[in-house]
Amino acid sequence: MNFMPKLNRELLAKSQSLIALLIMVIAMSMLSDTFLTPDNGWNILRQISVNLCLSIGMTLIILSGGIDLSVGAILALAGAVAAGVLRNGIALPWLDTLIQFTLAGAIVAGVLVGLALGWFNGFVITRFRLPPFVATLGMFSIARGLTMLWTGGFPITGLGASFGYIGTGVMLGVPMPVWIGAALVAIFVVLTLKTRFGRYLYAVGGNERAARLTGLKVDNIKIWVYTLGGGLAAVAGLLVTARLDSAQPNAGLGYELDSIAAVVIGGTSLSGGRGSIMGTVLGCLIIGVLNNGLFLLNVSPFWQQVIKGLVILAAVAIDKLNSKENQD
Amino acid sequence: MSSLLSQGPLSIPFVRWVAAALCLAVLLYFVPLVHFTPLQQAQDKIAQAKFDAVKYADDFWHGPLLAETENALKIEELISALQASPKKAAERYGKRLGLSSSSSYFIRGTGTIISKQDDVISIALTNSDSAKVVIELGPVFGNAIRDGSGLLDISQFSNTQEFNAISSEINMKVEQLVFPVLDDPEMLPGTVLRFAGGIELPDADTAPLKLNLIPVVVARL
Repeated sequence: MNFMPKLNRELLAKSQSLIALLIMVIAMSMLSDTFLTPDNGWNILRQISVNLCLSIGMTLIILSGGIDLSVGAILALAGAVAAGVLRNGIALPWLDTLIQFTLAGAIVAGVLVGLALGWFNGFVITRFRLPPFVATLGMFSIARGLTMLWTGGFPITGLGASFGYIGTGVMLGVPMPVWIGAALVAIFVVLTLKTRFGRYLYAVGGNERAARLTGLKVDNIKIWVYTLGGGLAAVAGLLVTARLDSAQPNAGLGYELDSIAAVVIGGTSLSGGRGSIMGTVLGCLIIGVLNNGLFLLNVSPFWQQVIKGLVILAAVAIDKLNSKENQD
Repeated sequence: MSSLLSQGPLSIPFVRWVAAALCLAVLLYFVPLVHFTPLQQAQDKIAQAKFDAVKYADDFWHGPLLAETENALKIEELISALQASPKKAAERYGKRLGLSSSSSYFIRGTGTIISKQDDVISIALTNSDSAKVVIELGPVFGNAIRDGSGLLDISQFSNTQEFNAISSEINMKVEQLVFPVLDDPEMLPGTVLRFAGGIELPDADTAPLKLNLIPVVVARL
């Protein structure tokens, strides 16, 4: 029996992430006195900014019908490279020269590392027709190993106040990571909704075969998507490193799962072609509010993992039900 | 003009690339990414700026730390406080760093060696029979002296590695300067000593019966 008109059901399906977020905010506000305060609000936004950077890239990749399990490892390597070149530079003994990196140079170096590894992911996936899951799992291991080789297994610390400002600074009353996250959201909303690249992306993810037959350069689009994903992971790596004032060899462990969770909770279909950056922003906020609220309520970290897992399962189940209803 | 630009080397893509390259060059001029320095000059500069934990620990040991042994808490006082309430004793006399679940104390006292077996020396206290002091000869770990003395503030250092390196060097000094005194064959059971050093105690509900001391000073009385 159908109680709701189809239009209302579609509207409800599109707003489900927002509704879930509102319910959680109301519930947490009733359960904790400190939840609904300006300080805690900024705290949540600051906390989600790293996941937001990763998740924007992951949204593009999942929209194209792929997946990237290497973003956490790329985050660690990009952060370590930026920290390493900023702290120690690069010695060229045969030229009796030390290349000392400025702050801008270190940031560029970190981002270039992310872009290069992302490009490699895309190249391997398109050239050798490897499943993205396998290719990026390989990159996960490569990037983790390279991070250990680069850092020697030790944190790189003492990066200076200027670098730390990226992670801990405040501009016009807003924390820098929030500015960076917001800027990236704006750029990628425009990229996905208002550009030819965005339309191609949805076309490739929606039906790759049809996209090929219409003459789209599917492989190029995929390479671009993975390259951007790597670059955004690098930005996340810079934020983490700047915030901790150190590059940790094990930074970003498990972050790929958090970003996939945010994308899925935000309504992006794991089979590609359907979803949005704004949905991912909501997904990140839901995870952020959940983490923050459970922490404020003194819920054991073990239970927090269980609850997060259940929320992800519920999101995927709802997504599947919606897809089925749409097909019916 | 447009027909001119669309031909040969002055085609529109070419002009765009040249314009982009010029913009990049101007940007890099004002915001350089790297500087090139002669290697030796850079290494000298780094060596000068590098934190010397060995020297710092040596100065600290022979300066403020040895002086502080005279002002350290009497061990009997600590034991009485621990017996009354370990929590209050930790609050009053203990030093703890961050979210640590243990407290460090800097104490002094006198006692008599009652046993010396397998590099473990047990000392009965002169003014208390509620607990004994134990010194284990061998590699020293932990931060009992650094933290217990309360003389070093982590915020004075640019990073935690420097702070930890000091603790390692202090522990090394204990092994090199203090343990040989205790390892002396003449340090037999019955020898009366005065001692001072650090003790680290985990949070507990009951007072400990033995206190593991990391000594800074040990001298025969």
